[in-house]
Amino acid sequence: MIMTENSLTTKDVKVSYGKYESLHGVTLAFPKNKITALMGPSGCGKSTFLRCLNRSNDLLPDVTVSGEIEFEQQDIYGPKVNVVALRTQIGMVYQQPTPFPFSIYENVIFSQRMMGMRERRQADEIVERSLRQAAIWDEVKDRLHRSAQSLSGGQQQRVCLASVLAGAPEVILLDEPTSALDPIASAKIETTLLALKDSYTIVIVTHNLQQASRISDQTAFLLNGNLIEAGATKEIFMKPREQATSDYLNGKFG
Amino acid sequence: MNRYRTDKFARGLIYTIVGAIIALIAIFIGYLLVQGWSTISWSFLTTASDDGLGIRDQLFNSLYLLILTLLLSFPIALGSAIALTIYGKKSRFAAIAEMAIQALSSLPSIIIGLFGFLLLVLKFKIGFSVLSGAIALTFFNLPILTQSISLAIATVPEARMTAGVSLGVSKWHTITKVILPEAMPGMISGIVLSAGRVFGEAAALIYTAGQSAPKLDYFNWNIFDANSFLNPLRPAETLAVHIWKVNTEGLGANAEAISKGTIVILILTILAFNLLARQLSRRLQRKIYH
Ligand SMILES: Nc1ncnc2c1ncn2[C@@H]1O[C@H](COP(=O)(O)OP(=O)(O)O)[C@@H](O)[C@H]1O
Ligand SMILES: [Mg+2]
Repeated sequence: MIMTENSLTTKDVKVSYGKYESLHGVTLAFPKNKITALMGPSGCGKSTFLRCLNRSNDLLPDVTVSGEIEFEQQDIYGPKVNVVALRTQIGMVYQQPTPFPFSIYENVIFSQRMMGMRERRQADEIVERSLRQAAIWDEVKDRLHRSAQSLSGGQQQRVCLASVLAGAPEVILLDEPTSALDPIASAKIETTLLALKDSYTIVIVTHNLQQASRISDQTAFLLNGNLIEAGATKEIFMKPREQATSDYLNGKFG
Repeated sequence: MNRYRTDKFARGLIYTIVGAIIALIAIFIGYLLVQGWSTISWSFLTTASDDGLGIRDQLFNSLYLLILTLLLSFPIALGSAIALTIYGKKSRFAAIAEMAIQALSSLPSIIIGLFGFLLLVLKFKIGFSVLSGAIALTFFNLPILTQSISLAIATVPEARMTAGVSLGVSKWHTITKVILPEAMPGMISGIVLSAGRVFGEAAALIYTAGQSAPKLDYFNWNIFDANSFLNPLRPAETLAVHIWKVNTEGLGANAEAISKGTIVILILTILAFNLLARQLSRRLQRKIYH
């Protein structure tokens, strides 16, 4: 793999819920402007790991995170970090689309409004640009002021992506964004992500091996809270180093 | 009996029971309305009881106490509900607080009245007054109001909070701009229904707001004057207390007519609160989702 600058790096990240340790020390780097796929069977800790990267684990009661996570050479669990601002830079899209009960327009501009954006023209511009980037502008441009919850699941998911993009993030985290969608809607999201890669660093959790091989540059395989192996996607799929990875790829479990 | 017949039988039974309950309520309310109807007149609503039958001041006192009670209890209930359902969710503190709220909500209102009498009227020397009454009613209202606001907030999907926060919106903004507006229809119906309870409460007020309704001057805006309608330190008999007092003291030949007429006004106002609650929350619901 060609050496590139890393956007995010983690070192020996462990997570416990209460007394139970779910993630046992994950060390991984996320290269800038690349797509990294996190794979592994259900319950292996993919979501747990992803939530560490923008500190949304902080919202859950009784969670302890240890280890180091650096974003642009800064420890995101450090004492001086502004968590709210951090989450604008590292946005997240969930498995179930989570639009607010507002119009499409207000959904996309919401985080900007909360940061004090008042100007109409600027807001219009951001909404259009974000919806275009999320490849949904043509479908919704005539009904921007209708409820976002009236859209189909795939459309809602892209509106949520647009809301994240409106905050001008550096990194986009996606937790199984297509597993609740039909194949056509999933394909649209995949195309969208490939187009976004030039400007953003993307981390996607996926159950779908084809999806990982189609869109990702780097793949990491997790099992039972351990990182089994990580590397260029082609290499992982063609000749995995670990037996467990090869078993997983051959559908032996998960 | 085959399955189809069983089903039909069960449905028939349920309809009969529901019908019987509705009929009972209708008879009960209808009876009270018919009994009191002849007393109701414009002058009944607009003259003071010192001058005859009228309940003008009791009606005003009931509304005034209701407004003050809501002003006192709503912010506290909203704050507690947010603390319990969002910030302190699943914490030990929330569990203890919830138990305390449940205990307080099952406290008989006469106990709250006597507690208010000892603490506010005697110890703090506030006397029989609007203020003592409003504080006692706040104790009476807080548990139920906190519970209904908490319920309204709990109907908002948890995903809202994670979604807001993951967009780089602060927790506070996510609460005030997303969660509370979405919970608003439920909160409004909770507030209005609790208003009905407060409006009809007597026991908590007998020894706090007192049992006398001095004749009020509705043009005297100086809240320090004894006859000013806004004075919070004057005694203030309400409609419900008036019914109780007229019946226990049985003063004069008109006592029965006054009490029956007052009952009609009380029931109609509370029914109006209920209708208002439904209307308001339906409207708001429509406004938020379309
Ligand atoms: N909020 C939570 N509280 C307690 N345990 C959790 C929580 N979230 C996840 N876990 C546990 O952590 C482990 C990893 O879960 P998760 O990260 O959701 O896996 P994945 O996303 O790979 O399916 C599981 O054993 C799960 O039960
Ligand atoms: Mg998961």
